[in-house]
Amino acid sequence: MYLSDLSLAQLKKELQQQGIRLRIGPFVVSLKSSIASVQSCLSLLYDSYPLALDEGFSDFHIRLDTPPSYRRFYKPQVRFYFDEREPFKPLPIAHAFPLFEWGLNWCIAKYVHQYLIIHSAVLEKNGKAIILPGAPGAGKSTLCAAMMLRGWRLLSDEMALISPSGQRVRPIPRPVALKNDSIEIIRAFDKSAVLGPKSYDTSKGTVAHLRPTHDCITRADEDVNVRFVIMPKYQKDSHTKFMQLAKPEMLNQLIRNSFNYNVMRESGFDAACKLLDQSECFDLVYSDLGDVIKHLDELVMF
Amino acid sequence: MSQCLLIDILGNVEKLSSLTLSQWDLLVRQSRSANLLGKLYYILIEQNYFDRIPEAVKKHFFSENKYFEAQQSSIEWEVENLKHALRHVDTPVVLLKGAAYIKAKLKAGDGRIFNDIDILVTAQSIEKVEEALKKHGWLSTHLDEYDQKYYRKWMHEIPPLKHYQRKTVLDIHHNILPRTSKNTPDSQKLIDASIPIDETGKLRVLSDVDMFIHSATHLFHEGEFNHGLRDLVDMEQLLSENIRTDFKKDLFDRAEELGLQWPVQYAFVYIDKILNRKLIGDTDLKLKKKLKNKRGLAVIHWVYSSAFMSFHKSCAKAFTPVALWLLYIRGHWLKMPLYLLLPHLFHKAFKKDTVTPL
Repeated sequence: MYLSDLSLAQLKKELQQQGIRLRIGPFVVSLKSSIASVQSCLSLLYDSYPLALDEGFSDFHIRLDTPPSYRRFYKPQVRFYFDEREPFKPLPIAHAFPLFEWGLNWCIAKYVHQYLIIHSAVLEKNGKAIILPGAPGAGKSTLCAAMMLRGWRLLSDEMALISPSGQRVRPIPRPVALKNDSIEIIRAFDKSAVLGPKSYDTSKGTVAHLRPTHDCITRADEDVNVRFVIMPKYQKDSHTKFMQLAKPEMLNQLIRNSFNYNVMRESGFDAACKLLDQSECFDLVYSDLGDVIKHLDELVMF
Repeated sequence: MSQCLLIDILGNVEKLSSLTLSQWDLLVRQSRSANLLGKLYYILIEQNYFDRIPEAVKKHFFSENKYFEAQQSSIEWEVENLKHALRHVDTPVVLLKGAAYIKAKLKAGDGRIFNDIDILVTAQSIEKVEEALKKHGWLSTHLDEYDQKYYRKWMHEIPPLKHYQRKTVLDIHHNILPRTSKNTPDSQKLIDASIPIDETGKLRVLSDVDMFIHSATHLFHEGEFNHGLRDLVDMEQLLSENIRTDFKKDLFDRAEELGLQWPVQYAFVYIDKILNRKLIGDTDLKLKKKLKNKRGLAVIHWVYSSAFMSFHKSCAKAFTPVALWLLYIRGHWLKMPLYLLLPHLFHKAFKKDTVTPL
């Protein structure tokens, strides 16, 4: 059974009552919400995700709600509950759906230490995965969104789940969070891109989420070998340039961009080293999305 | 089986065999809420139960244990730093609670997740200790002037220190109860009886009986019960690991010497009641009689029984919030006389949240 098997009315009802159990990559997420924007964004962006049976084990219990108080009428807010705990401060209700996405990232980074988790986008073609770590603002999400729209399989736009052996990466496909200018860039790049509504004035500026392609979701159980680790950087008017990067330097980058290296310690270090042993590492500068994807296609051709 | 699965399981691990997946789901949530997931992992391994757990559940235990292992090595490192920072200060450094259980390699330390490192030093040395730690990067967290004064004048500890780089928090005590409490023991007695755990003899843990007494005293003077059940499990483990025959007698003798009998008695009562043990045997008639005869105890027992169940909504009862409120009042009441308590609660209730400077 898939989320799209429920009508919007059914989905709303279930989200308000017993909740739905959504399969997202290796996790089952139990979700409740009475907030209309959360309900409609789920129905739009998560439509092809499978639902788990009613009874069973959920990895995370998440609820997004407006608590019953005067705030329901005056500048209403959204609260994020992880089971019963509230790990974050409430946000304006217009940021409810982004809060779900950020909150789920937090759950994974905090409670999933069977993987080394690296803040990066991951995409695959021809059985070869590319990990794209990058500082916020470097254009990693934009590149990732464009690659997906050109037929790459998205494993994640936000986090690489690296197996302790360091060789495989586990998919956790989710809607791609696009920020500020990249929202219109992606809309122009591919007219068929399905985007959720914009949330303005969040801590990351304006945010909108791009629906993952059907293929990413149906193949969410297939883990992949990593072959390339590439640090992308958007630079206005520049040509596409790949520059080989020394592995020790890239190791530093992976560790710096890891969410749980402090917990993984030696096993995290080993996993990162093995990952780099089998990967080629590059710095990448680009400005033209079409051109850089052509180059990336060639990279995984053979 | 009751709704409070975690308590059922802690009372009898065999009950796990009949759990459905959705009950496992509730058990993990309750355990996480009670901060007992890591401990439960070790309990299940010890009881040879771990292999029978569904795979989906196992990974949460593994993940929590990974976190515990990281914490363990961070504790080792912090304790080394602490020893180094205090090497010229003339005081033994007695580790308390979590850090002590881990450094003394006790079962109560296995899987125990905690935030702060607690230490006990002599009252005379406390200023030198603070000064030495500041030089090594541990800075005071409570910048509010009222808090600073309150801690230093009335409490048994100075305001917590946080390392500016590693962010670890140190609680430095010169006693185990506030100066203002009528139960405050002579802390020198605790320090004198402490056991060295390193070659220099500087680093120490409380003696086995004092460790139990401290945990019980702390728990039953506490106004907030976030870790109540976890602390009760700690004490049950301290007892079950101490198999020497005269331990119980020594424990009560020592408690009497320190004037802390009642917290120890309470600990026994609630380990029996909540964790389904039989510590108070039929032979302990004296203790049984003592606990039975006090009528005023009925309310207090209701308060504590509710509080031990308050770690997750699925365990709480209708009047749990009332019980927790009473416990909060009781906690303060035990720690200070009314003429100090009322102005303090007044200040806490009406002070504006100050914005901490970045």
